[in-house]
Amino acid sequence: MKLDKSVFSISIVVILLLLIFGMLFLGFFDFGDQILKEPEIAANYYRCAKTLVPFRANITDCNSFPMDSTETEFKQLIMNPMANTVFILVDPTSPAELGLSTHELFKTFSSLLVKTGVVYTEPAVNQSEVPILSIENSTISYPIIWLRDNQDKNLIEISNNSVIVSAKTAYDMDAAACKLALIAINDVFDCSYEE
Amino acid sequence: MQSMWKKVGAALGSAVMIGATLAGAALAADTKDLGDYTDLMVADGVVGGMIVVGANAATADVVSAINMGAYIGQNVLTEGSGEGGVTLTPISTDVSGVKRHVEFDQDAEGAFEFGGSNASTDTIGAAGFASGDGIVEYLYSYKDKGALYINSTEINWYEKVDVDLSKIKSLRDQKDTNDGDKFDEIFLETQGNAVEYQLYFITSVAGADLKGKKLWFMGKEYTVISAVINDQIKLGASDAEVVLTTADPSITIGGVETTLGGIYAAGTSNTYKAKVTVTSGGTTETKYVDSGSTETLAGIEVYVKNAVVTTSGTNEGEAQVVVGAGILKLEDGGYLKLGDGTETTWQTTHEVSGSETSIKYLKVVDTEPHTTVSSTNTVLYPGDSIMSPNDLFGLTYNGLTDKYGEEPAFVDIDIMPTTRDLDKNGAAQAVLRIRTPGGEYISYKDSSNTSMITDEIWINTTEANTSSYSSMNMNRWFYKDPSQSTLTYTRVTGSPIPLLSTNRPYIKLTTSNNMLMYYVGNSTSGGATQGNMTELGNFSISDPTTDVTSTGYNITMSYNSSAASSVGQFEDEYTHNANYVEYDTTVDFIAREGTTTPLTRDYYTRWGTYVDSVGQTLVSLRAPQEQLFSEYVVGTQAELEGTPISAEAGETVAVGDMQVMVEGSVGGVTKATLPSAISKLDTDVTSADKTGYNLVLVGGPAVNTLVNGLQTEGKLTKTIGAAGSTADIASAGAGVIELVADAFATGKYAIVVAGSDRAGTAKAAAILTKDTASLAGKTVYEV
Repeated sequence: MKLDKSVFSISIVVILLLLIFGMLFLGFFDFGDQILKEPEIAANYYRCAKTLVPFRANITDCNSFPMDSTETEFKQLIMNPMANTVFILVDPTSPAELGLSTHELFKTFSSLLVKTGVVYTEPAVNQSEVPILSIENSTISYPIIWLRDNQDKNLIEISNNSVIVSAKTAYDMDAAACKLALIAINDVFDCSYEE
Repeated sequence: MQSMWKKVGAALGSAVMIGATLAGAALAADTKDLGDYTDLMVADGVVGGMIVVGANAATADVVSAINMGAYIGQNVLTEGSGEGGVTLTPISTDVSGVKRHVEFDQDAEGAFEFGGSNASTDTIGAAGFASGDGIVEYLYSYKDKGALYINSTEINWYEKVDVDLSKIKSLRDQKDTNDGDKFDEIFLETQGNAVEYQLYFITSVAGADLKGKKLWFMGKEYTVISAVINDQIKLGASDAEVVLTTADPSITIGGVETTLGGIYAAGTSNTYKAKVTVTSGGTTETKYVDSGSTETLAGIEVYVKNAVVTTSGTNEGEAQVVVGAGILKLEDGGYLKLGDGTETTWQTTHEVSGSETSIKYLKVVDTEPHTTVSSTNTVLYPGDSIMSPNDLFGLTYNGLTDKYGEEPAFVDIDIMPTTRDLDKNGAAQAVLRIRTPGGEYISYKDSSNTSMITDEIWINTTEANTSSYSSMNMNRWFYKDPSQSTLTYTRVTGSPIPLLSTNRPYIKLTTSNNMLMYYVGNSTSGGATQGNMTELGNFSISDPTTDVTSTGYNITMSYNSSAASSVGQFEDEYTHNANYVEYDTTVDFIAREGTTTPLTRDYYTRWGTYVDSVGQTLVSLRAPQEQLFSEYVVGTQAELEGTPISAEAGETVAVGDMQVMVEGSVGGVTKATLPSAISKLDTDVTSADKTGYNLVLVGGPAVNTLVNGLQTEGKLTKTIGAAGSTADIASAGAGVIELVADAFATGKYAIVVAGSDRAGTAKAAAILTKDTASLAGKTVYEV
C-alpha cells in the first residue's frame, strides 16, 4: 500500500510539473497563437497547388473586375489547344505600367505553356521585329487580347476571337490582367485549397 | 521561480539566436551565381524575386526588356528539354465503305477516282466499278448470304447502292455576314435522291412467296413479316429478335417494356397466339398477337414471329418477338417507317415485273437534300452524315484532303507593309515584305540569274521605274543576299525592268504547282504614274490552275505606300471599294471587312488557298501545296483506338508502317508551372521589397534609378553607359547580366539586366528567359 501511494504521488507531481513547464514555455515564447494562426498571405498573392502566385493587384479586385462574357468563353478561346499563339496587343507608346500589366498575362500564359507573344498597335522604334497587328487580325488560331487604356469603362469583352480589355487606370488594368491570368491558372491547375 | 524560468527562456532564446547566426553564416557561405537565377526567383513554392523596370520607360521598353515580344516565324517559347518517354496511341479509321474525293466547285461526276470518264453513277454493286472496296464486299455478297428457295426454285438476289454523282458537290462558302455567316468553310452539298439503294431479285418474286423468308436489306438480315406488292412490305430485323418465355417474360428495349402473358390457341389448327403487354411512354396495352403477324400496342408495333406452347395443356410457352424499331415498313411510294413510329426521309418504291404481281426490286432513296440552295436545309460539315435507317449505311463528309486523299499540307504566306532602305540611299522606303515563315518557298533569280529559294523577299513600292510604264512592269524585287557577310539587299534579276513571267518571283508549292507574284501600280486611281513616290498599287499572287477552271485566279491586295506615316498599309480594294483582299476580280471577294464595308466574305479559293488573317498591316494566306478536295465516305466508318506504344528517349518504335525515333528532348516532359515573378516600377520599390526579394533590375542606369544607384555606389563590376561612352558596356547593342550580392544591405541579391541601349537590354533579358545554363558559375555575363 505504501508503495502504491508513493508511486501515485510521484506520478501526480511529474504530470503537474510537465503541465506547468509546458504552459510557461508556450506562454514565454508566445507560441500558442502562432500554432493556431494560419500564416498571413498578402492580398496580392494567389494560392494554388501549394504555391503562392504574386500579382500586381489584390486578388479580390482581380476577381471583381467586370467581364461581359463567361469564363468558359475565355478559356475556349485562349486555352484552346487549337490556339497557335496568343497575341497580347498593346500600344507601345503607353506608359511602362501597361507593360507590367502585359507581363502579368505573359508570365502566366508562358508558365502554363500557352504560346504567347506581345504585338503592337503601331511600330516601335528599333523594334521592327515585333509584329504590328490590329484587333481584326484575331483568329481562332491566333487570338488577340487587346489591353487598352479607356477612360470610360472597366470591362473585359470577348467577341470575334478576340478579348478586349478596357481599363480606366493602371491598377484597373493590373486587376483585369490578373483576372484573366487566374482564369487560365484555374483551367490548368486544381487550385482548391489543400490542408 | 519566475526568474528561474526567465533565465531558462533567455538561454533558449540565445540558442535560437545563435542558431540563426550560424544559419546566416551558412547562407552567406552558400554563394550564389547567375546559374541560380531560377532559385533566386522562386524556391520551394515561395516567390523570392521581383522584376523592376524604370518608371520613365514606355510599354515598348518593358516588352523589350522582359523579352515578351512575338516574333513572326519564331517560337516564343522554347520546348522543354529533358529525358523522358512518350506513349503513342495509334488511331485508325475502319471504313466499311468507299472513300471518294470531290474537287472544289465540282460535282462528284468529274472526280478523278471514279474510274470512268464522267460516269453518271457510281454503282457500288455487281456492275459497279468500285468493286474491291469494303462495302461492295459486304453488300454484294448474295453467295455468302444464300439464295431464296421458293417451291424448290433457287432465286438469287443482291444489294446495291447507286450514288448520283451529279448531285454531290463540294462547295466553298460564299455567304457573308449579311447571312449571319462569318466563317470560311467548305461543305458538301448533297441533293435529294442522290443515294439510291436497291434490293434486287434476279428473278421476280411474288409477295406471298416472300413471307417468312430471310433477306438482307441495307446490310442487315430480316425476316419478311408480310409482303403485299405495290402496297406494303414489312421486315423484322434478325438482330432485334428476342425470345420471351412465360418463365422469363419481360424485356425492355429502348424504353419500351414488353411482357409475354402466355401462349394461347389461335384456332382449331395448331397455331398459337401470344398474349403481349407493351408499356411505352406511360401507356400500357395488352393484345393477343397471332404467330407470324404484327399488332400495334401502345403505339409500338410488335411482330410475333413464332409462338409455341412448351407444356401441353397450359399457357406456358415461348415466343420470338421483334419490337418497335426492329420492324421496317416499306410502303410503295411512301417513306420508310420504323415500328416505333419513326418515319425516315427515305422514299420506297416497289418495282414490279410486267404482271405487277411479283417484285423485281425494292428501291429506297433519300429524298432529303443537304444543300444551301433552298436556304432551309442543312449542309454537311466535316463529320456530318446522312444515314439510312440502319447505322451501317450512309454518306459522311470527312473534311479536306489533297488529291491523294492525304492530310493537306499548307504553305503560310505573310505579306506585310513595312520600311526598309532597300536602295541604300540612306532613307527607309515603304516596302512590302513577303514571307513564308514555315520554310523557304519563295523562288527568285539572283543577280547571277541563278534560281534561288528563300523565305522572304521585298518589293520597293516607291522606287521610280526606269522603263516605260505598262501593266505588270512595276516589279522592284529585292532579296537578302546570302553571299554577303553583312545584311545586304540585292535586286532580283530583271527588276525593275519588265519581268517576264518566267523569271518573276513565285511561291513554290510543289514541282508542278506555284503561285506567281507581282506588284503593279495603279494608273487610274491615285495618280500613280511612272516614278510616283506615293502611289497606290496592287500586290497579287495567283493560285495554280485547277481542273475545274483551268485558270489560276489572282488574290489581290490593295496597298497604299504613303499611308501610316509612309510605312504603307493595305486598304480597301480601290476598284471594288470593298475588301482588303479580293479573289478573281469578276467573281469573288475573299477577305474580311474593310473600312467601307462591314461584310465578312472570307472563303477559300478554288485551289483551296484561304486568308488566315487580314488587316491593314498584315495579310496572312495559307496555300495548300496540292489542290484541296472534299472527302466523303459511302458506307460507314469508325475511329478505332489501337494499342498504346510506349518508348523511352532514344528508342525506336514502329507506329503503323513507320519507324519512329523518340529523341531525348520530348515536349511532353515540359510541365506547366505557376508564374513566380512579380514586376514593379523602380519608383514603386519599397524597403520591404529590398528586404523581401531578390530584385531583377531591368534597364541601364539611364532608365532604371536602382541600377543607377548601384553603379554610382560602385557595386557593379561592369559599368554601363550609352553607346560610345567610356563605360565597360558601351558598344551599340551590348548587354550585361550581373549578380550583385547584398545589393541593398538587406542580404538579398540584385540581378542587373541592362545594356548600352534598348537592344542590349533586350539581348540580356533573352538570355535569362532562354539560356540560364550558360550562366552557371558566373556572376557577370556579357552579351
